[in-house]
Amino acid sequence: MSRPRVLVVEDERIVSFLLTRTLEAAGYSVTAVDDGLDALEVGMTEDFDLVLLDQRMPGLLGLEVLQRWKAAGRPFPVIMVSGITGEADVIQALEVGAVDYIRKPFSVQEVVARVKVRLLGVGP
Amino acid sequence: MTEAIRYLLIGLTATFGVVAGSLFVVKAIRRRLRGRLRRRKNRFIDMIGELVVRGEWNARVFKRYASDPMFREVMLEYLRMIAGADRQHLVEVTRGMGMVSEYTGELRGGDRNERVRAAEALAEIADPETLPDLVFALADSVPEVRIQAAAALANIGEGRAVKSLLVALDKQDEGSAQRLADALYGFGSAAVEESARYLTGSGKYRPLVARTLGLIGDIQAEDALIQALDSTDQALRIRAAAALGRAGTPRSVPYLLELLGDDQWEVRAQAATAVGRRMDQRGVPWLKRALSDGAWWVRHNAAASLVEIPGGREALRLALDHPDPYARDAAAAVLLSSGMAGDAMGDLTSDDPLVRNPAMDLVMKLIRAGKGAFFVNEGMPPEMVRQLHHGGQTVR
Repeated sequence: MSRPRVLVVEDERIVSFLLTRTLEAAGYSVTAVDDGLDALEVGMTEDFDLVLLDQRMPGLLGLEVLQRWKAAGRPFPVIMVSGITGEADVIQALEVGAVDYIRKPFSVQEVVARVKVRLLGVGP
Repeated sequence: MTEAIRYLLIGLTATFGVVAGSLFVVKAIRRRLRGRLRRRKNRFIDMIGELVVRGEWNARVFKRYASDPMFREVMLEYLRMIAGADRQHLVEVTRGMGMVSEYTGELRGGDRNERVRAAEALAEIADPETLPDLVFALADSVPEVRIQAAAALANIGEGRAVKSLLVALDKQDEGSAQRLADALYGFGSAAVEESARYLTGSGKYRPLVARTLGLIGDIQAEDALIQALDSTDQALRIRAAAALGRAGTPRSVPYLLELLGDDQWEVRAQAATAVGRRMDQRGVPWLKRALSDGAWWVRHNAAASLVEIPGGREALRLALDHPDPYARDAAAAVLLSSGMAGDAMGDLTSDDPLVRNPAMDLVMKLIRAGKGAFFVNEGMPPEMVRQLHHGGQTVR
């Protein structure tokens, strides 16, 4: 069985590094991009089992990327990761189609636990 | 003469060339240095990240780079980015590196810039063991140090620091007091008990603290806020009334209703809004009366609150027949802005007379109250607006 594929979209190098390395250590195959436009393209052309998507990024906002993926029928679940913690922002992200919303700063172990829950049945 | 000009031009060209060349070289060196610094920083990010992922909190590298300013900067960035157990471990690591003791030393004895920098760093680290140093810094002569120390205390979040923060608050100018109040808000519910006690005293910034208690929204502040409604300080009554809109329970409603008769219109206006936030039906007759208040803000807030309270919307419809034109105008304005008028316009074409007739009644009254332009803008033919204004007709 191949390892589940996770896309990490995050422009903060520290956050991106921590998520990528922790998920790799947990047995996932991770692709990381640091720009909204790159994320849009990668998500349109490659298949993932899950996406961790930052909201504030250069190029394109996370929510816009999510909207375009949904409009194009991209099937993977998306967890939003954001320092914007207003109730309205969380609700908006969930309405657009995010399956979960993680507020920054976050516990890396908690993020991995949430990813595992979402990928139950997919492995690793 | 011509020869002299020629030499002058050659000289100027040469000088320009030397200056441009030098600038180019300086720029290139700076670019290279920036690139080198960025690479070095990225190396530290990866190095620390790897240790965090592996949980190697005793790694020698932390000691090796303990005095490196860039390594320290990256450590602080990590502390800003992560939460939970990993953060706790990193705080302990910064302690082990001597960063914490160095910053607390600077905070107590450094020059102005060192104290500001130390307070900022300690705000990032948020180590509970630095609490006495941060309380000490609340009395610093530099406002930015005091503000950063207050932020650090809020990040630590231990309620025992709140009293010190409130004592310091009274010694601030208005600008700094606002920033300290922001820090107070950062404590959340841990700030409520001491802040409520502050309200019952004679503190200089009681209105600001009342506002902060409203933002925190913890009902444990209710008693102190209700008590503050009796204050002779108008600003405190205004803030306390507004705060009870967020931090009150049904118990505070009768006090807010009484406040609708306050001498000051700002107090009445805040009370009207707070009653709406409580969504308590007891407020409907009081708010209906407030539609005739002499102050526009009170009328407007009362109408806006009636939209929120069960039974209030019907009261707003009825207010369109109010003998006071100001009350009619306040009701009509809110019926428009709340979307009720737009909904009624949509219901005009309903097959169900129980839906259509009340909608017709509302639209006609709004048009007669001078709001015809709203319906024209929403797409109603001007001729129909005119007909409805002059007695109405069945619209199908």
